[in-house]
Amino acid sequence: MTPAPYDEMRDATGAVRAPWTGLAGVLDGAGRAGLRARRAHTLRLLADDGVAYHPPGAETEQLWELDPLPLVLDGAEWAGLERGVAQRAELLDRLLADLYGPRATVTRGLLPVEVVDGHPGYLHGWRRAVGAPPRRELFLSGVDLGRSSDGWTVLGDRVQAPSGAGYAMANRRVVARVLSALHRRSRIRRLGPFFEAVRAGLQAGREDPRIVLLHPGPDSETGYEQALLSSLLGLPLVLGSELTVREGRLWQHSLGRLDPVDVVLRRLDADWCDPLDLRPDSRLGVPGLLEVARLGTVTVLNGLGAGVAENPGLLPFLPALCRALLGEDLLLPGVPTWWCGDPVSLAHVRAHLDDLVLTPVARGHDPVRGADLDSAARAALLARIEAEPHAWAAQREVVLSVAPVVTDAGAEPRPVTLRTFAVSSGEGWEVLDGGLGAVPTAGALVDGVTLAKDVWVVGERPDRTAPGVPDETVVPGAATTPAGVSPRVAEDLFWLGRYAERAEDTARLLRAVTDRWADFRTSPEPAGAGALRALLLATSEITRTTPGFAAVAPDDDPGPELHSLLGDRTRPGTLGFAVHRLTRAAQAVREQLSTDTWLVLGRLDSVLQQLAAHAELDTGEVSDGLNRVLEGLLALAGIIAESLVRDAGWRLLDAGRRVERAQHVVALLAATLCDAPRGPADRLVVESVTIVAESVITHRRRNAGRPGIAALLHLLLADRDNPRALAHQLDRLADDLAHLPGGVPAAFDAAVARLSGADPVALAARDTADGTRPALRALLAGLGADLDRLAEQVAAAHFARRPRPHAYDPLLGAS
Amino acid sequence: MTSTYRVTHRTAYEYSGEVTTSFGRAHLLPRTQPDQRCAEARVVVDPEPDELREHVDAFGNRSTYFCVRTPHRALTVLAESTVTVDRAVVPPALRGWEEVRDRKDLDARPFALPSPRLPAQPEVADYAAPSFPPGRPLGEAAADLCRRIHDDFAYVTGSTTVRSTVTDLLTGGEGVCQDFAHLAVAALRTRGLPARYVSGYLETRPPPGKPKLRGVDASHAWFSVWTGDGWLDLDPTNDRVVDDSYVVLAHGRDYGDVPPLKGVLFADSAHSTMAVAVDLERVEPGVIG
Repeated sequence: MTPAPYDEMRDATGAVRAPWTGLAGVLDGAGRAGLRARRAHTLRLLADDGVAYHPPGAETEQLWELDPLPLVLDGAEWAGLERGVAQRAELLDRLLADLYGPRATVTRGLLPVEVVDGHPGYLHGWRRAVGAPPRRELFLSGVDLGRSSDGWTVLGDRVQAPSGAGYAMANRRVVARVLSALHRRSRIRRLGPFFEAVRAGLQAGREDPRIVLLHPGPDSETGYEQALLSSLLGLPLVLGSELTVREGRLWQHSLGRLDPVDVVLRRLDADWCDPLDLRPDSRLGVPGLLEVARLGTVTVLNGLGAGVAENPGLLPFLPALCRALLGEDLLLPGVPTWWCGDPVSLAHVRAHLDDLVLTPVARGHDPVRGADLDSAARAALLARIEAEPHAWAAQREVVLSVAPVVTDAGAEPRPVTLRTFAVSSGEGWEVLDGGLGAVPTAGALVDGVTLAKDVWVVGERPDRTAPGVPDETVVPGAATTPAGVSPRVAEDLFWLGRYAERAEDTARLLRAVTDRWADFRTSPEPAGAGALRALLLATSEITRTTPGFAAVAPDDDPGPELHSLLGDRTRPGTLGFAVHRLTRAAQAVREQLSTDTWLVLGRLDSVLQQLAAHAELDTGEVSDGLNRVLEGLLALAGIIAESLVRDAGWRLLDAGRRVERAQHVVALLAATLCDAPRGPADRLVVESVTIVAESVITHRRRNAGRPGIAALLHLLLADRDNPRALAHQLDRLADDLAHLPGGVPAAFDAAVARLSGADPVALAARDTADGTRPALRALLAGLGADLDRLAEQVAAAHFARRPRPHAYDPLLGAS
Repeated sequence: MTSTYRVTHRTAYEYSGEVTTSFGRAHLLPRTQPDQRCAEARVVVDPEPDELREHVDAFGNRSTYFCVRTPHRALTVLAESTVTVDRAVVPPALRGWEEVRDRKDLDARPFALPSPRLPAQPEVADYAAPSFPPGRPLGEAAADLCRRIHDDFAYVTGSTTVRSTVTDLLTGGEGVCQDFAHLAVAALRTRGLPARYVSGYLETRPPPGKPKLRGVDASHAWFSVWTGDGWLDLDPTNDRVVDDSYVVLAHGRDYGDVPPLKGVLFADSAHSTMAVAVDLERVEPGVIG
């Protein structure tokens, strides 16, 4: 018979436990509608903060799922848990130091050698040389806990590259706002000090060390969290390709230089860290990293061999190991586990298969519930286990405690687990005062995306009285951006600037076209028809989506093509594409940007989705939607202008924007004025051009009564005071390039020279025979080519593409 | 019986395009062990490497790391050593194979586990079975396995690659020394017996009356099985007991622990051709066993 689960909120009599009284009050007062409102509020805040998770294999990331109700734990009870988590971290560190050194635990018979050498996490290449001093193996440890009717039980250890501490902080920031009143009046321990301890631990014993956070990339499962950690810890987020091994140590590529690296905090599983000595197919690692880490010129944390401590087959041996290594009893019991490599345990497993969950000891293999198998499947499983008994463990399923979770039906009790974290601060182990709570999917044995819960430890800490900054005001942002911009970040920032500008230019263009179309629909006349047609064709040229409108007959509905240009995010040249790429670029440099960025990008995405959802185009709605898109893009421009430090990264971002805007002006003029029709339509086209170029008011004011083409060309090309003019973009580029290492690209000087020789009156002149403007066309073609080359030269100078790594085939034994 | 060899092993790569950086890992210097002494040994890389470092790995092998940062279109790795082999006749391994299995000697036990390239597979267990009737002395069982592999599979140069699996050999019926050694190691492990993969060289002798040609020797591989008292080396490619015409480079759980040479290079294109030349030259008259 299954025992009743422990209820976190209520005791056996149904009375609310003391630390839960506040939350119980909220639950009583809120009602079902109130809880739904809290859930909606949670969702909104998660979206605004851009808290995300990228399921393996999915194309895009998805919103993090968080329950508004925290798991509340009493401070006095927590003290016991904290001691247990710290003890466990110390134990595993000592065990790892032994397993990669003298292996006394094995030779003394405390641990079967198969539990060690038979686990894929045990790295022979990580063994220390005979007599070499022990190094730190475990720095940051995660322990998954569940509370059964017998108390807290360890479900598993996360020591490879534990994730979740950053998400715990993200959860706290949201829940603190959703339950702001309760949060303020409860004495909830802060999470911030833990991250200070992580920083202190990384620096411990080193003089001004250079520390990097090695990650698998912004598209990885926990890309959001890696960026958040980078901000919280003030560490540069680097890819393997941004590091290099030379002269017996590790270096980081920054713009134009190499900086020596002392410590690597890795979020990359060890296997992927070095294509030379570990997985040869890894594109994420650094060739030679194992070599220099073994030499000890760089400290890699957690140690590259830490994965072996995740072997569930270790659990039955930990009590004895704890006594042997620490001289203490193990404080936190593990879930009852039988390691199948032991014949007596294997006999037990065979006899009790229905009551057990069978787990391959290697990560990445799904566990199986014995009771779920029919007789054929049982026989097959037992055969697999008997062929490789050391590779299997069997565990009793823990009946997890329950805590209230907001569901459609109100607050319902659901099972919960808790991931806790310990870090070596240099002065012992510091445990995060809280953790990552999770509500496992019903019936599932594998962890994956689950509903997260904030974890509140309530009650003062006896040993820490100094008030600090509340967690929710610790905002990641540009202020913590470390010096030195890597070529990868430089490239992403450049493209962030380009796509932000492209989105803005495209939105203005489409708005002008939509307005012209709306005018023509209400008062159809030949001039309007001609101007609309000219503008539609120009739009396809400018956005480089030809044939586009040219493939739509003049009398046919341009609506479908316009619809595609708005919302089709898979088609280059559209507004949807530009915004999608903008978001991707922003995600790639998340740690460089202010959190407000996600507020803006989230709203932009939802406006575009609304626009794309309409099957029939309503010009009023489109115009309205485009205004909201522009609002968002202008807000983004404001954040970029007002919230980012003017470092090399910002210079590249701005350079990207300037190049893009310059190209847009050139393309706009080339598509509208070179072959412009004469007559009434011409005037309407010129008016739209002025609107698209955001220069209507200036143009009218400066050239009152003389709306000549020469004056417009002067305003958009040569007027250095007009922030939309080409000359202005070149001035800004000159300033940006002057602040970047390396010289000014040749194409820049070419563009400046070409523009300075241009005379607006001569450019405006039409060919007497066919009415085109050949001088203008020639100038713009030259400038367009200059700008394309300029972009290429900036890329070549700063994005420093290294050639791709190839693993060369090991030599084949020839006889 | 003692033999001394001057070993040279030259690997030359040529690339279709420029390589900016090459990282390499070599197991090309003979290990020192009770029946083998290595007097002098070095790895020379051309172009001159920025770094070249040697350490003894977890299996006791000599492991060389190098990095070349001079842009190059060709890379040569030359290993030279002088090694003296003094391999006494191995006493017959008379313990029953089950006894060896059940001893669980601590040093040998890890080698009874499956390894990255040799996972436990039922078809390998089936292949091994006939050599291991109950109570058979280990030496006899291992020799039988060695002979069967020699007889059952065709030696075909180029029939497999460094990534071939034991299953490829069992289904394809042909392979090279590495595949035969892998099958033997995996087969012994299915019986719970510790077994290692050994990388090294075998001296080749010219036909009677002909001078020995240069560069005709080659990398070789065989297996080693735990007898309860020591390791017994057998060569399934030639169905021979390993004697002093063999030089041991390195041993490990499988080929993956001891490739003679592997690496990572940075280049825009990495089409390459490779040529290997190995020479085992006797520098002192030895007694041929």
